[in-house]
Amino acid sequence: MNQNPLLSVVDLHKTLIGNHILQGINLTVAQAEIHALMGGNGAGKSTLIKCLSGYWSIDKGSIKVNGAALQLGAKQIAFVQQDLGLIQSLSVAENISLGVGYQTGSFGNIRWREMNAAAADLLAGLGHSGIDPRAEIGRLNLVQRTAVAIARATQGLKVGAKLLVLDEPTAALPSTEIGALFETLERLRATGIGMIYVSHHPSEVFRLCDRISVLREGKLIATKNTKETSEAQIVELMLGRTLQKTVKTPGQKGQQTAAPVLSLTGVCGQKIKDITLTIGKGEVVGLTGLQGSGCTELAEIIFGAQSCEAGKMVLDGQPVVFAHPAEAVAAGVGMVTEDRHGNGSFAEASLGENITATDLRRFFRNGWMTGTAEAAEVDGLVADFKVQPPHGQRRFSSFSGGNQQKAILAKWMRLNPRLLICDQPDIGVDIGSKNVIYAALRDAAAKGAAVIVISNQHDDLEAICDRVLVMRAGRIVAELSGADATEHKISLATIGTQVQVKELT
Amino acid sequence: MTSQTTLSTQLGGATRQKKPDWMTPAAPYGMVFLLIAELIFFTVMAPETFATRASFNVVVSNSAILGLIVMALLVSLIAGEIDASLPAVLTVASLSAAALMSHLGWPLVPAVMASILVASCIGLCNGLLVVKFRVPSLITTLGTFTILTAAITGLASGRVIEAGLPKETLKLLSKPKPLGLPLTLYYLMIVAVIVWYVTEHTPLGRQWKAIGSSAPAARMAGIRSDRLKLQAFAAGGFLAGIAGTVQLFKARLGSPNVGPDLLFPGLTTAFLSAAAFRLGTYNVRGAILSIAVIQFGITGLILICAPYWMDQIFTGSALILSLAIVRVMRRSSQ
Repeated sequence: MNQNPLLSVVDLHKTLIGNHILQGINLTVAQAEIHALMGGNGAGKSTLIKCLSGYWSIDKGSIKVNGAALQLGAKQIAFVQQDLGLIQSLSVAENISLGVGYQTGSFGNIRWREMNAAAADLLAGLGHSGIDPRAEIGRLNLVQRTAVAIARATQGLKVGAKLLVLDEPTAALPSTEIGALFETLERLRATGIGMIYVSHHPSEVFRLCDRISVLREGKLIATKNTKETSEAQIVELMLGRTLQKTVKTPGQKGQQTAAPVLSLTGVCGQKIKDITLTIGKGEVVGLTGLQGSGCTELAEIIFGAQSCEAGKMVLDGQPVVFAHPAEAVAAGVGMVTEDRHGNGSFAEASLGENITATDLRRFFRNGWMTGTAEAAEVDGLVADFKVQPPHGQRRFSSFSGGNQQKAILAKWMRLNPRLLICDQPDIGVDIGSKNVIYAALRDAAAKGAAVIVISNQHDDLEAICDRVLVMRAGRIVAELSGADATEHKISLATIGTQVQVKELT
Repeated sequence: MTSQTTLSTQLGGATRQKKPDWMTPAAPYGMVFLLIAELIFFTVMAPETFATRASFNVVVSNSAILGLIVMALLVSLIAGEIDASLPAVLTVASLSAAALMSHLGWPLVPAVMASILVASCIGLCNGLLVVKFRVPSLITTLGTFTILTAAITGLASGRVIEAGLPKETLKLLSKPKPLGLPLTLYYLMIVAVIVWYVTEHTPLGRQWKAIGSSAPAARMAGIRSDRLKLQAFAAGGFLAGIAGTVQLFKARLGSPNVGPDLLFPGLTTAFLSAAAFRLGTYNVRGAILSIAVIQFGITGLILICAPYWMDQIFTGSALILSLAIVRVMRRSSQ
């Protein structure tokens, strides 16, 4: 970098409760550069970002922005947090104005009209003119929310910051929407803004970023020019070992036994219409679609968490209607929910309590909860699923995303479900954990369970699924199986491109 | 493999030996040390009066009814709700048992059973309001608290019910002092052991804890949150009914004045229970310890001739400080 770097981090150290999390990080970001920050969960990415944002003080080293030391509250860096940090009950314009303050009139009254117009301008500049600045955030979909969060951050940039940090901005986005986000970011880059782009996905990083820095175990392993490296090399650097890309052996593909576990006929819900499908014993079926296509609603209807308005559902030959998830669980259905923090886990309880919450009665012997039996079972599962650190009695929220997800999967797998639904099991999960999770799903199928995986990662669906169902606007519009279930064809089917896809409607 | 093992050592291995969980081992017992310090302080400050049988008896007799209402409050708190009407339910139970015996000539046992049933039903009604209409429980039960308090005042016209009660039997149920301790304390101990057993050692208690921790997560784990909440509210009412019964035994008359005054001390003590033993979780052992800390503190303050309003400042500060300390410790351990 010939000119002064926008950001320079020199020999940064940070220790948290006795753990040396960051061990001498050196990092520079130039103007008009998109710099990828990659690493597995627990590598230190979040801690580094929290140091940049001033959330953590640093133990040793220096952080300079534009040659000036990092100061609290100076707004030198703009951030888009992974959870977006939007307030659900406020409007789009109000959320955007939160960062810079409301425009006020002569009586201190908020100038709503100007504020809404400014917000609309900002969103239009990002290619999202369809968002009503007066709409409540809670009413927007995830794509629109991400746009609002970026709009708010870029507004911070107008105030003077030239550096934008994006923490896994694509985590909640369907793969077909990622292009639009990248376009926005490239537009920002053209104005000279430097960006740090945190991601788990090598494919995204190679499309977008100029340089890639890889963190592992608190050390910055390498910084590479994107043009001079390969995905395989980056993944190898992240893991410190060669990645076994697919967990599925070719012989399993297309396997489908006669006995159906679940069959739906004409099932309708609030947004989904006339869903008919059959899933056989030992089958892994992928379910995918754009935001709002109804995958999650379908899953929740099967699991009894939303009401089924019409249609028939048969589980192992028995017609069933689940009015509550408890009935589904009793019938041998498990569900890994999409929103891990919202309804997938008890953050303040221990990891073990999360795992055993589904059937506590098993440990109730002679009128007493037997803690030893419970702990033994938890320890076994923690070992099986390679949860790190392997301590079931630790608070759930103290584990990294990948390990939390392994524990949630363990919770259902120990019940030996006949049907297991996994809604976005890969969100916020590092590659190593993802492999453990997918291997466990194939394993469950091999033992005779029917597995439904909802995901926006079409390459993963290709790797692990026997069959992929694609949903659009509440209907199943395509079914791809065997050699047809490729990443490319799945992606095309989600956006509705007519290809050599077996269209059902 | 090697990278995973080193990672685990860095994340948790080094600190594991010292910290069995996210807190230092002494932290759950901090309040025990506080109690000991308090006892030593008052013994030194008021040597003639504090460390005596008389002051101990004052503490114990103040604690029993309060302790029983705290047990009732704990159940709904553990299940993630709050039933602020319980102190009024106590009065309803105690008065209705007295009224059944005095006005209708019912024998003691059916009168007490009927009043406990009434109390459980009031709890259940609160639960139904919360579960069916999704009104936050604090708001709902403050409403029922106010209504019940007014109804008590209206129906009892502020008078105690004394005539026609089986005085001798009531005396027998409260006067004896096995091992020198008042019988009411034994009632509290029995109820506390049962509540401790149910909340910590049965699937029901663990499920209450689960819905208290996150109702949506409990639902998606196949736990019937609504049904469990109803059970928690009914159990709270039942325990308030027992508290009312013991109050009747102790006073040997039905009084309209006792219950409502227990609302704030009861809630304070129940909240404080989360600062001992199982940090961040309302628990029975913590509640018993909290009662001891607060009641010995109040008695000690009286004996060292502190101003009369000092005890409330003490209670309030103890609550805020202990819970703030618990919070800070959890945050620093993240």
